[in-house]
Amino acid sequence: MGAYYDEIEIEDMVWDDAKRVYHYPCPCGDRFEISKSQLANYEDVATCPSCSLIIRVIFDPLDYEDYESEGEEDAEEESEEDSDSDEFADAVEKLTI
Amino acid sequence: MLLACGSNAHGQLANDSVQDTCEFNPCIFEDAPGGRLRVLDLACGANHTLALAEDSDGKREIWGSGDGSSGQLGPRQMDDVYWQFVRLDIPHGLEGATPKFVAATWKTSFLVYSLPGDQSDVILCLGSNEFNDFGTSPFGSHTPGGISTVALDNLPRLDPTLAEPITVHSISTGQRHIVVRLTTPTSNGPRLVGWGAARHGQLQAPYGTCVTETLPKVLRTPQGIPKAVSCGSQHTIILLEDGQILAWGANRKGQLVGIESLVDVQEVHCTWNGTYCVTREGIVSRGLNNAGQLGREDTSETGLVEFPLPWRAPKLVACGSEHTLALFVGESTQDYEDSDALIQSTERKPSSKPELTSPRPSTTSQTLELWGWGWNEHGNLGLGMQNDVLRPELLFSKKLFIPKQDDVNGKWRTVGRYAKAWAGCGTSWVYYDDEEADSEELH
Repeated sequence: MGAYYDEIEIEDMVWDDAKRVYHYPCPCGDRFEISKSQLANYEDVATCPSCSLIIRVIFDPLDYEDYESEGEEDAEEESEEDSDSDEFADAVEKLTI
Repeated sequence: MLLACGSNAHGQLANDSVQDTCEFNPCIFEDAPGGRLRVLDLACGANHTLALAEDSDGKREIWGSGDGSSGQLGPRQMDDVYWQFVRLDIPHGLEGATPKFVAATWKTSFLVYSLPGDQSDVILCLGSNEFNDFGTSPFGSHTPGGISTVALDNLPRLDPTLAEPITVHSISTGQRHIVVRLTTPTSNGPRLVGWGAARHGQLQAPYGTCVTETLPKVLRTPQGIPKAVSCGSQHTIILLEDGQILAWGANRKGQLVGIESLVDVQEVHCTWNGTYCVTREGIVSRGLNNAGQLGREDTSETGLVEFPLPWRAPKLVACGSEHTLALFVGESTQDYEDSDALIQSTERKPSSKPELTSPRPSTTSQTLELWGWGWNEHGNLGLGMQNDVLRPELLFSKKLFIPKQDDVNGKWRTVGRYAKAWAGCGTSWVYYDDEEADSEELH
């Protein structure tokens, strides 16, 4: 308990579509971040890249497991190369818009 | 002279770097007129800073530094990062507008202007509208250039006694909510309106019943007239004119415990997860204490911040995200002890020899002292180190230049006595009138 700066409900976090992370303000001005795949893997610690502070995210992992299989096109379980090609596919998608 | 220290990843300290700074360093105003600017108000967002400054002719301008990527420094400073304060040229199109206050939520800026004649004050918003920080419906009034206007003109529809013209007396911001204290000719004293993030009850709606308030909402204080407001990340503290307190929102860190039963409170201030009430006995501190934020060893519910000196009222208290500053202007703590000794020694002296009484401390030797405590991971207490500070420590002191009475001719009547401090997201700020510039001009 003492290790967490705060415990934050997922409802208070914001989804960053570009970086593909949920985030919440850190008192240093940077932000705590956690990805959907982390949430789907039952990870609940969001970290700040500029600080020692961490928060615990309050959420229902099942929500994100479902979302992952529907929305993320099973990218997470695969190798790095595959996720790279997924990013490329994303970029192509954006170009056509 | 404006000095700052702390978190600086986007140049928000305006000291021409993007390195954290753990000592108070001067801020730079780009192309400032002769370097003589008095900072009237300052506001800190996540990574940007707004400064409302006045030159010696009384002309006011708004300056900004740090991150402008979300438009929080205005449409003409977008997509860039500013390591010094630059003039914010806001194309608001408001004839005769004078800036009055600046405020900021996470990535949003608020500029309060007064307008000539019988017109209502205007609050302009710049930057992110993620939590409906703009206080404007999607179909509401927008001025050109991506600048939004808070829909204060909607208030008469909610409460007929809030008919225009509206005068804004203060604007308080938390991480993502805003509370404004305003009057109208028929409001019968100051009233409160608020908007933005509301999920934790910080805008009076019970927890979970409202995610955000899109338009300014009238906040009811039937218990009394609001004198001051301070916003934490998920809580709001209202000081009423009779010295009682109203506390709304999250209490997850104990930031509201016992607060409403305090009496005779002078001032209220909030960190993100804490509440600090200035009383006649000292500063009552409540809430998160993972980094010494409460400033006391006594962890009981009635504890006061433990200053290492006899309590005296600060000129002001400023709360950052997780640290607190207290500014004192007067005799220095050294003089303070000396003058106590002086009083004791004169009492023992025979009254027949008044000439032996030592001279009183001169009124021309006032000292500014900035004290602070709490979270210090980014060197934001200016002590040259990054360890948390568990009890108040003297961060900065400066002998203030006070001219003789007949030297003061300009607009700045209080020259030399004017000093202020502010605190942001891991940042601390102190301003005092610049001695050298003053002595030149007043010569």
